[in-house]
Amino acid sequence: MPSKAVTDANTAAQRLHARLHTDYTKPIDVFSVVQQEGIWLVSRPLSAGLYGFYLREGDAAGIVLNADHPEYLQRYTCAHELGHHVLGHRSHLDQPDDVVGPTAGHPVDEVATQAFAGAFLMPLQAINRVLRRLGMPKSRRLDAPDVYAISRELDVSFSASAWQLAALGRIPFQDADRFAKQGAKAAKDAMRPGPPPEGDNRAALFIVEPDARDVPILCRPGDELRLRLPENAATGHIWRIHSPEIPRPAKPQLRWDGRKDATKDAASTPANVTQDISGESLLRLAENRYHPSSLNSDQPGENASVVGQPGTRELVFLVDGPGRAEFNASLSRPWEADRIDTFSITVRIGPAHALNGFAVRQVREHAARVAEG
Amino acid sequence: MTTRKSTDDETAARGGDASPEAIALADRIKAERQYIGLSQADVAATLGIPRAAVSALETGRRRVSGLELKRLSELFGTSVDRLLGHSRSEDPTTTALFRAAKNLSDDDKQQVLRFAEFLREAGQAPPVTRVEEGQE
Repeated sequence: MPSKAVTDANTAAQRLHARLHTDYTKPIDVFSVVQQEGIWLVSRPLSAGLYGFYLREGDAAGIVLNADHPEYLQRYTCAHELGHHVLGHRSHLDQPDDVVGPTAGHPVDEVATQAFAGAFLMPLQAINRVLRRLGMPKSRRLDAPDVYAISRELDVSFSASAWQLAALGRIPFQDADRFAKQGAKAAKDAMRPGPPPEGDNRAALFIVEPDARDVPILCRPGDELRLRLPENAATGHIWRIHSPEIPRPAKPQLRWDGRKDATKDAASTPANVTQDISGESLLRLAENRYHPSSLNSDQPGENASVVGQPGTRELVFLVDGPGRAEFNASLSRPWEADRIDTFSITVRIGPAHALNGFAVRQVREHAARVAEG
Repeated sequence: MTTRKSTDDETAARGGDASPEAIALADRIKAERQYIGLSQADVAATLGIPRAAVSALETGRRRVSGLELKRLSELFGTSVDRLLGHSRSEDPTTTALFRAAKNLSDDDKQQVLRFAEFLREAGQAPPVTRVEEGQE
């Protein structure tokens, strides 16, 4: 049974969203909200022992975040500091335990502020939307990759979403505890058939399958996009990429011609390639693999390969940006003009969004105010 | 944002008659401008002087008028006293904050003290409408 302080914090978060007419189709833009509320927003180089702080001096209130933190952690700390403001707390320095630590034994203010941060960044309306968009019905028992996908859509940390989903009764608390202990990396590893491509291991991972073709994809530079398209090697139908433009591979056997028998060896060796692509597109092909078995089955494994059984073409892209990129492919036999299927998606790539220094618009307004005298 | 480090040329360009106090003031102006993340051009626009004049202020080649000093302190969210070199000290609020925190570094304390000063001097944040992504 949540304490009154926690219930009040949840109510305060809901009220603020109602007043701001929050758009739940996108991650909650807490940096913008703080500025709209007339609170100074800054990031500064702070030590690892200080996540951020909230200060109040007379009429003026301000939030300072740790400039060395990744965006999702800055967002979470920012929501925490906003909680101090909204709940009428006094100035506060927030150390790691205050922001992300267990709440047991904490002062009631910090417990309430943590509840506020969760409820503000992950309100029920936003979570329900994400669950619908990701095609996760109420009956589904959410596993770690599900929670990961939800956290990515909400732009919050994996463990923060696990705890909020538990607080909302969507997953059992013992699952949240287990997920939080195992971490986001374990969840992401479970979503890939092999090792991650080189890059930032904090980058987000997106898996796109044909039934998700209408789902808009919003990612950030450095993110990993894995497109999984059903392909039946035995029929000779293979996916051909029309955009982004992929330079011809150096070795002809890298593009599987579909004529060989779909044996384990034929499918797993030549098609497992890493191409060094330097194209204009913001989508950079890092891997192009054929998996003879479904990547979705409960027991993925090379041994499940059976001649004639449909497999999966997996295209792994690393995302540059910001900007917009198109992916278009068609399924056909290389020697025939007929296409039996097509697949297109648009990927929007937002700017890297972590806060660096003073919020620019606030400082510009401030400078204009000083100039006017 | 301009974050050029001072070069030997700049050091040489500092007025030969600039006193150590004037150079220390010039360095503080530059450091405070960088704290708030404004360019020399931004400062020039606020003071209504050419950008080259701001550059000269930050190397001690140009004297700062009293009015400019006042404007600069408002812009940087600090006081004329602080720009002139009077050190910042703890107050009962920050002392209590530091006492409640564990293992706070001296740099962290300086960040807290500087931001508290900023809030006192700059006052409430200006109204900003909904900020579109990428405009922070």
